[in-house]
Amino acid sequence: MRLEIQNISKKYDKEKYGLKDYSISIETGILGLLGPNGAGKSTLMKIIATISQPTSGSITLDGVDIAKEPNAIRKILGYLPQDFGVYPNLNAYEFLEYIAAMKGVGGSNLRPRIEALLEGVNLTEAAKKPIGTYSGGMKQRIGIAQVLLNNPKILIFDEPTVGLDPEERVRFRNLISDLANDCIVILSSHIVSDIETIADEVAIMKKGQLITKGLQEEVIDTVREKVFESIIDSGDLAAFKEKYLVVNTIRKKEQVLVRYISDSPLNAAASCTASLEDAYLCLTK
Amino acid sequence: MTSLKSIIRADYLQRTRSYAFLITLLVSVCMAYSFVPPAGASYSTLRIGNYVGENNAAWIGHSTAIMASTFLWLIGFYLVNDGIKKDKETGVGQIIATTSISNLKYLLAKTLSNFVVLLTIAVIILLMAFSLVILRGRHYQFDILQFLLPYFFATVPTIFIVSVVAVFAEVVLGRYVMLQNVAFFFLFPVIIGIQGLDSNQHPFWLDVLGTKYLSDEMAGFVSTHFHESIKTVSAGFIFSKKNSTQHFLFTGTYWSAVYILSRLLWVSVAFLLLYISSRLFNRFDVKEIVATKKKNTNAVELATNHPLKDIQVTQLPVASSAYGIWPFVKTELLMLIRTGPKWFWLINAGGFIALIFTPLTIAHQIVLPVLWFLQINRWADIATKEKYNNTHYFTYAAYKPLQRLLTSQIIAGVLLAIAFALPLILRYLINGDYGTAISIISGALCIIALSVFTGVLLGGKRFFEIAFFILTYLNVSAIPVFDYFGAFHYGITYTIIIIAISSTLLFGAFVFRSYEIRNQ
Repeated sequence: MRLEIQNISKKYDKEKYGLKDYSISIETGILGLLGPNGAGKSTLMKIIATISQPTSGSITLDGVDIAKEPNAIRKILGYLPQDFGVYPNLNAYEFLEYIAAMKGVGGSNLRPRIEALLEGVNLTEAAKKPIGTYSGGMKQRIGIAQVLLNNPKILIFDEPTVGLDPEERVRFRNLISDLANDCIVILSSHIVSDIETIADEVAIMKKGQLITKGLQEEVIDTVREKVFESIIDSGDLAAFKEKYLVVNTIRKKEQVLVRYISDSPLNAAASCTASLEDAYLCLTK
Repeated sequence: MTSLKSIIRADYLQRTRSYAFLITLLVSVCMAYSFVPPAGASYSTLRIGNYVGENNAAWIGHSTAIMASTFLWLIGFYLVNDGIKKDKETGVGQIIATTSISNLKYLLAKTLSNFVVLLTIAVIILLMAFSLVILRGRHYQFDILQFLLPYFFATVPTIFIVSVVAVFAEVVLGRYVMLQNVAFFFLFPVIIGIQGLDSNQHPFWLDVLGTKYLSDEMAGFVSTHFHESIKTVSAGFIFSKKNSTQHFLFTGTYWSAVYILSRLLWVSVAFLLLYISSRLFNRFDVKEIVATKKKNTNAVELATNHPLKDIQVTQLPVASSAYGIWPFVKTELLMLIRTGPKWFWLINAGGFIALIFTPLTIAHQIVLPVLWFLQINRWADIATKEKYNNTHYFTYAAYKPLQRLLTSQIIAGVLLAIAFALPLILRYLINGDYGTAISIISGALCIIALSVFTGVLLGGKRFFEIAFFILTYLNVSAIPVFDYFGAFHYGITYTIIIIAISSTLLFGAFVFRSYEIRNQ
């Protein structure tokens, strides 16, 4: 399975682009999307999910133009949007049945599948209560359950770990890893560690454009041997930040331990192992 | 003072920067134009017995001010009764609640914001009236005071009062939007009824709209000049034979101190109502927030005690493909039925019973449109709930969302509307009057088509609510400007016209939704 995005632009007005001349090829596996706010991650995901149409460019799934034939992807799509809502007067069963109908899923196995999913997201006990009474985390879990109602082959998760506690985030990452065996999974997150742990490939975006895409190691290579740590006086921090790209600071009484990226570090600097977060911050600075 | 101005400005801009408001303005322009019928028109908007004034400044000023007062009282409430609700929904209310602004100041800002919105419409009507004086009354002397003062003393206080009433209703019945709509619906006939009372027994100052004094003055003017005792002053769109109408030159009203004081009195009453509202307003419903938190506490406990498990995707039962629309229709019906408080079904049951036992004409001309109007929030929800609940990310990415989902929403709406009308339909069928039964069904289709079209086009409920209110009011008042459910018109041709209008609206809804789905 291959999702081919070629020279896509999404123009909102004369000056403002959500995406600009964006091309990427996505194959089976997990692609992590990283980028600051306004980078165009959600716009890209909406276009792939067929709820937004590109101003120009093409997007094909195994050769089928999904901008022209959106129903080709909708049958095999699992989409968890960032700010999705629910119908508060429906309970979890009713809501999932409704979403299943949207996806074109039914039959005698639908009810057992919904029950299994509700069990999986641990909402069986609350399943008959109106969703309007659910907490944010519970709604997020309903969102996760709806993704799996059909047997999705394209999974799009926009900031999926919002509302989940650390333990749940680990379980969710495991779930995504399981799903990725024969699917395309596109995952965006502000939490670099979520992407770092599970993504096969990483795409870094900025201002609607693709900065880089590749295997994690390839992305990290851009800052390898350039990440250092030094201890400086607190008073010198502002001047230091002007000179170097500081990725982290840890305050220690009157001094500060700074982690920074540079080709010419301070004399007493300690070299550090580069991480995806270092590469991300360097590429999007 | 600066903070008050800032709140009013922000609120005003937020309300007016919408397509719905633009369309309201366009409708206002059309209404204002229709308020002054051209010479030879088959209708009049103000009629003193058989007399209608020549189109000079005094007549146009008075007649349009009377119409504007009535029109803005009628639609004004529905147009502005969501200022506090919006603050609650957007969460801005919780921020406001933590600031030092007093309840009275906040509600005054909301009132003035309502007032400025309605004043914008009043000014548009005034400008249109002025243009019509220039166009149609240029042969007469332009008496600017007699043109402007009816607006100043009748329309402006009226829109201030309705602005306060809207705030009061939001404070007292904040959570019960349906009840607000219904309460105002039944308040309007009471107010209009006061205008029709005998002036000798019921003083004009009882009239909140301030138009009774004007119409009494006009009736007095005609009585004096034509030596007739005229007591009937009709306002609205009155159709009559041209040759039965006589014309007179109206020179204006005597602005008595008592009348001016009566208007001040009503404005003072409005301020008192505002003060009472500020005492009742508990800064974004603390009780409601506590109740919600209580509910959510249970939910959070559930969430904390039962975190996400490991899901074995490969072991999930495999569901088969199903592309039918009935699961949608079922859930859409469920959602429509669950809209609003449960006790409201008691009122619906009353309407249902009335459809069975009241005389056929009353059941058709009054009970049915009122019963359908009571469901206004259900109808308004049909095509707007996705955006309102933020579920459009799911619904627009559904498999064939137009053909399956939108169609199901329409079917569910029409089925429910027909269900409400079922006793009446059955009565007609039993009587063998199949044509009227079909016209009621086409009425159900029409009202759902209107709600879906306006909902899809404008993305909100407000315009539909106002339009449906006006339609219902006019039909119940036996002014069948648009008799969509065949209460006053008979014949298959009329039903076909209604079905054609409904089909056009639905076609428009499909076209706009198709565009919307692809252009998020």
